[in-house]
Amino acid sequence: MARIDIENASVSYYLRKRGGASGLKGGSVGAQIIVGKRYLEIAALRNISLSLKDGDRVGLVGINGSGKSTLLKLCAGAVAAQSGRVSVEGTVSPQFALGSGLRPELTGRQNAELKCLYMRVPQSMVSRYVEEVKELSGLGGYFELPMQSYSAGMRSRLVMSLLRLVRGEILIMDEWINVADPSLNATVGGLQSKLIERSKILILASHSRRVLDDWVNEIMWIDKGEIRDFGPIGDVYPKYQKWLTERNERK
Amino acid sequence: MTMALWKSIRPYLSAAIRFFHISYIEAKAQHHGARLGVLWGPLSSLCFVVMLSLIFHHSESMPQSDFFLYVFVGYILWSFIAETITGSTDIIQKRLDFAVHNGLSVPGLFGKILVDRLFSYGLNLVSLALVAIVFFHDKLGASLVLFLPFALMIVAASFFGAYLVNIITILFPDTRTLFQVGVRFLFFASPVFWSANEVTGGVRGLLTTYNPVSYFLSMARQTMGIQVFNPSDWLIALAVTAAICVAGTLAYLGSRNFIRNLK
Repeated sequence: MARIDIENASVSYYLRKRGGASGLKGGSVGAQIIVGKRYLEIAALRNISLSLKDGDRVGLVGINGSGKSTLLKLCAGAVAAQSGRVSVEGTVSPQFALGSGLRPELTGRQNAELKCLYMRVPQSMVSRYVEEVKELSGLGGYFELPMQSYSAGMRSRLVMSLLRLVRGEILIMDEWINVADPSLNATVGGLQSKLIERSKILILASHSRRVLDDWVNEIMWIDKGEIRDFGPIGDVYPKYQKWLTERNERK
Repeated sequence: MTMALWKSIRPYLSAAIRFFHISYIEAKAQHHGARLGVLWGPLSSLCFVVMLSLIFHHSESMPQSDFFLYVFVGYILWSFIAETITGSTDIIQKRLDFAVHNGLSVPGLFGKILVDRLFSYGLNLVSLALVAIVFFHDKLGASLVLFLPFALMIVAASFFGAYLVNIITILFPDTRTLFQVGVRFLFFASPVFWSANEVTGGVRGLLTTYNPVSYFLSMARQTMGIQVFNPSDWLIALAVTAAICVAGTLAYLGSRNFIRNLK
């Protein structure tokens, strides 16, 4: 069983202070900046409480800098909470950005081999999996070339094909899901759906209503590091849209 | 009992084998296009050792061939120590994101990088073993059993030492350059290519006595039968290892709640 329990968690980022602290007032986007003695503290999340169990599919919405990515990172263990309690049960598979966790200087084949090993694919099955990835990606000879020589579309193909190896009970995806190359074949596109269907808990940050409608059943609206609303898409998304429109008009 | 022990260590062994395979793939990619591939690692060490032993051999008490083995054993351990320090100044800053995407925690990431270092050290050890078997087989003997406790000590010291170096450079960025310069200084200040046994006093005497690296170098040479077994060297190295492990553990416990949030 997979489970995420977050209770009153607050997360800050710390940046070493350089020069004076003038001009560090918060803008229209982003979290509050607290000027400390040696560090600048960016209060990315404040008093977040969240409880997710098997079957939950949650979308995160909010403007840039609202704290969506930080919440995803908190669930994935990439950042720590400074206060509150965070408990995650189950294997987490974070998919923050296209190509994260891969090495651009290595070939598609080498990256696939490494991914297999990191994902604990038995050694005896690595070569079979790698061939499957090659087949799925349709990269042909490019599979043997360094990833840094790939076009954006080719990178998407490789990354999507590698999803075959991802076995997370808790799937955490950031907005990169929207940038998939439209020319990707149905098999590769289907892998993404399978991955999402297979996961027990999905947390997905997206600005796209279509993506949210397709994959999540509830959304959490985050603003300035706090949960502003949480509920079914049909209830929360219109409120968020209205707020967004009013905000843009005020500008 | 044996079954239970095997079951408890099996996951760690399996992870270590996986990590060694990863290190091999990465090392192979580093030498992409070169005919000798990963063999360039031990070959370059061997060339450097030959050069050091030819240039710095000035001892009447140690024949040239013995001095070569003395430098060889010392230099490959020195490379491992130097890599522990210089290669650990930006692990969390630069590799945490990669690690998280591949299911590694902070200790897991340090474990993976330790395996990378052990892979390089292992390749050097293989070339040392070949040289020793062919040219110095008379020196190999019972002292080789000391290799296991020696290896356990350097593995522990390297793992926790790497975390200490990283946390220090994160909190005090200026120390990154200090570590780089310090390692260069330490190379000359440690008995890698000069014999500690022939030092009776002066600056070198101080360096031999108060430099922890010299005890680890002595241990390595004692395992190969180049130096006589000296329990006090082992005790001092054990104390240094324990101190590094305790300091590294305390540093981890004290920093784990904010270290991932430093940008």
